[in-house]
Amino acid sequence: MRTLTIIITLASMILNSSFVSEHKYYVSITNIDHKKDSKAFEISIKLTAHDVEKALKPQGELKLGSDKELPNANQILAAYIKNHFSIWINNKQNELNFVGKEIENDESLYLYFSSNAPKTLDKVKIINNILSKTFPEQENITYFNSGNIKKDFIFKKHSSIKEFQFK
Amino acid sequence: MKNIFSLALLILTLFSGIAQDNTNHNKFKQLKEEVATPNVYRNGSGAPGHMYYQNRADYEMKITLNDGEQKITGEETITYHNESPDDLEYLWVQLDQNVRAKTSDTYKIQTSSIRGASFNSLKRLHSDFDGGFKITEVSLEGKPLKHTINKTMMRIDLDTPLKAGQKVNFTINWWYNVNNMLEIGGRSGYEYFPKDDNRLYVIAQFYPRMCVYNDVEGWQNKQFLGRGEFAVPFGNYKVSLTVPGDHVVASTGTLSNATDVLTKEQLQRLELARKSDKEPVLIVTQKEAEKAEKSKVKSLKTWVFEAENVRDFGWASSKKFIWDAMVVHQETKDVMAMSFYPKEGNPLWEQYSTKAVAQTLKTYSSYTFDYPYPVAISVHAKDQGMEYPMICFNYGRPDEDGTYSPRMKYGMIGVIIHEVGHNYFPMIINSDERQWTWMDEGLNTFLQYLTEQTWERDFPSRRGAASKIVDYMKGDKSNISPIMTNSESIHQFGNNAYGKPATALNILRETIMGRELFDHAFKTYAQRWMFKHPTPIDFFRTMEDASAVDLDWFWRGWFYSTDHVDISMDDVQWFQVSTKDPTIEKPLAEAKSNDFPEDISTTRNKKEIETTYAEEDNSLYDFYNSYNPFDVTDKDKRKYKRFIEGLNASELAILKSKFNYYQLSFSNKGGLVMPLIIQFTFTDKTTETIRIPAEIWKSNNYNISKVFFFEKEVISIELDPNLETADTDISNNSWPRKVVPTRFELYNRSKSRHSGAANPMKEAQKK
Repeated sequence: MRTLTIIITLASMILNSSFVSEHKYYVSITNIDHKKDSKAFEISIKLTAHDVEKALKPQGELKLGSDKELPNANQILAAYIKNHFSIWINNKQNELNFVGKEIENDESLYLYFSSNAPKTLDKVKIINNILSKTFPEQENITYFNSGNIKKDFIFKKHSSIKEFQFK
Repeated sequence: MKNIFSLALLILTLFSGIAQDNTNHNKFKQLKEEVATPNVYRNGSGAPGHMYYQNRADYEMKITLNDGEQKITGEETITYHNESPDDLEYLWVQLDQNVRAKTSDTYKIQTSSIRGASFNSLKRLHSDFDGGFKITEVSLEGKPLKHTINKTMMRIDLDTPLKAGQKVNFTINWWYNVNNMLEIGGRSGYEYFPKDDNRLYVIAQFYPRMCVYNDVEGWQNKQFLGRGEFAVPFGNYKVSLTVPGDHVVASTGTLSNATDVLTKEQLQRLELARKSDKEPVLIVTQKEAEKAEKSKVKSLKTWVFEAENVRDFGWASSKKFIWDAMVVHQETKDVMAMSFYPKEGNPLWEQYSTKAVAQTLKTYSSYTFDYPYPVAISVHAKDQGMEYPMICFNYGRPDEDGTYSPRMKYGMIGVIIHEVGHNYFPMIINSDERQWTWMDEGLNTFLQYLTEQTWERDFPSRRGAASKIVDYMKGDKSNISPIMTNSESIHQFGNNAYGKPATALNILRETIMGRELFDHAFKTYAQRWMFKHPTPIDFFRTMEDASAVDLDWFWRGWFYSTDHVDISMDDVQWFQVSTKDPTIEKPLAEAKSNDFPEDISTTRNKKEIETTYAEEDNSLYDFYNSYNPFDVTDKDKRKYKRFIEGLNASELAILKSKFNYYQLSFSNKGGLVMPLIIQFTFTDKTTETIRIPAEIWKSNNYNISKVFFFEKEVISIELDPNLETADTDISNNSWPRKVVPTRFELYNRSKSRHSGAANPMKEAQKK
């Protein structure tokens, strides 16, 4: 049974990763900037637009950046990100606010979020499993900047939680 | 316990100390230790050596496509020419289809865990596809040949070794089930169109192919796991393709029985296309293709294609095909640019595909050599992008109402340029894809970028510009591999094997070598290795040998390491030359001395100590109490006169010029040494940019300073003002320091500009 499951996961990996020569990799890039003065996190998430469309297909054809874009595409995107990306301060989840999005013709989709943040940080936890369920090879690179402190993390399907201490 | 631990730590520290301190870690250390020694097969200049050889494999094939059962049956006779100096006891043949056999290693070796299996993957498991080659015969002159199949490779044991300089003829018969690409995946296969009950086949890796045997690898029989693509010897092909009678076939090579399979009208249109170099001519129109979609012909038709000097063969077949073509003129030969697509690809395909093929040939040829084959074909295949000699399969499907987003349009033009571009790398410059993905993908993505920029100004190229690679290169090193990593082991495949090498070459061209030196060296590489098998070292050596630019540091940093560029301008100091004139310098020195802030105690003591002892008793004063070291004395003046008299005219000129001198200090934080491009802005708002080669770091790789002088006074200095070096942290690139806005901040500032969703094309149609 165990072997069976492995094969299942694998079959989907092969489809997703191996055979399309122009697009064989799945990477998102998130920047979290801690703004001490305004007590906020400013977050930008760069994704590949057609990967997101594929992952969210069960909720409708998003058709991002076209005139047929789903009227509630922003809500779907925001809800999806909130389900798969979160920042926790001292074991308490921060609420994310959707700020907006940008779509570029090279397939880049940028999503912007903000959230309240304390001026000084103590224990921070980030969970990031954006697209990991759809694309087992998905890697979510996340940069965290607070003043002079810069940290970077790679979130993968089975390592989607990172915790770190500031004090 | 603790003591043992610290002892171990001490020993470790000692060892690492020894390793680091006493060997050469200079970033300009020559590459001699990392690369193979030049020899008679590959020489020190990067060219094929005087005893360079390569084997060849010619094929005669009879292939039948059974559309009803989605099955391909084939017979082939391979003539293998052993041009090597070695006798070969056995031959290796590639069986790529076996990657989809139920027992394939590709499935076994993928790491995974039980969580997160999706419903789609469950469905795929239950599809129970019986993939892989079913070999029915391997024989020589009618007698069975002993053969052993090891997954995707088959060894054929010869009764007597194939002597150097001799050839052997043998036959293989086989069949296999063709995969539905959209359900099972695959570089080739078919798409099913339920609306008209038709299939569109794009077929490749459909036959057992000879492996490469050469001086570097011996037999190149590294198993096919899915990522590292192919290495195939050159040869001539004669292939007859028997397909349903109403299909139209696109293929590698030249159609040698056109009069048997095309109508008179189609032949006439093809002749027109051979003269049309501005607009494609339709050979099969959409109307005709739509009519064919409805036909249910039972008969079969055989299309015969011949191709010379190719390293593989691919084809496509469907009754749905619309076909257009135009001619591309080159100095040495005319080429037919063609496209085959179903109506589902329109209107994008009729407008752009063949023109994208033509533009690719023109641009790539100008950087390499004239395209040597008679045709270059782009075939429409959903969600795909895959290359074979003279033919490639590309995505780009508009919505059903015929509108499309700009992303789809540029994505399609980009993928066509990319896949047609693969004709040069690796189809003609035949690098070993199974070892080095970057050698074809990186070089090809670089030329793709150059071609896209000739298509349209500010074409939204995904890769090429230095700034686009920054997010990748600044990342956690545990998730990045050097470019010089085998295809199967690469982290972040696309960034590593496509993006970074393409960007590196663009930086070489724009920033390090300059366009003229780079273009000549790059062309030299292409022409030296045209129709041959180069290795990475042959590329590195040629780029240096043809340009007289020592690039060992560049290959070492960009190709052999995961270092990134982060050069910081740490400090700027401003100096002016002393005039030595005491009447000027002494008052200046006095002013400077008085400028020093008064100590707090001194200030308070002025009030608190009403009179000092000396103020009460003046006998405490002597000479030194009235001496002012800043007074200009006669001795000073005499000294100055002697100094001036001792200067020659040019020294005097410097003294009088009042230049401003700036000492700039830089540190290398990312590890990659790069040229310094420094832009000075003066008080009158004019600017001057100074470019300093990377060799400024040659003896100190981490900290340097350099002095610049100007008549004008500088108000600001910017390092890498045009973002051409892929510097990952530009917040330390300016003096005075500038705050670099984040993407979030830029978006917030310009939020009003963005409406979020706009397809101007559809908007226009509504009006």
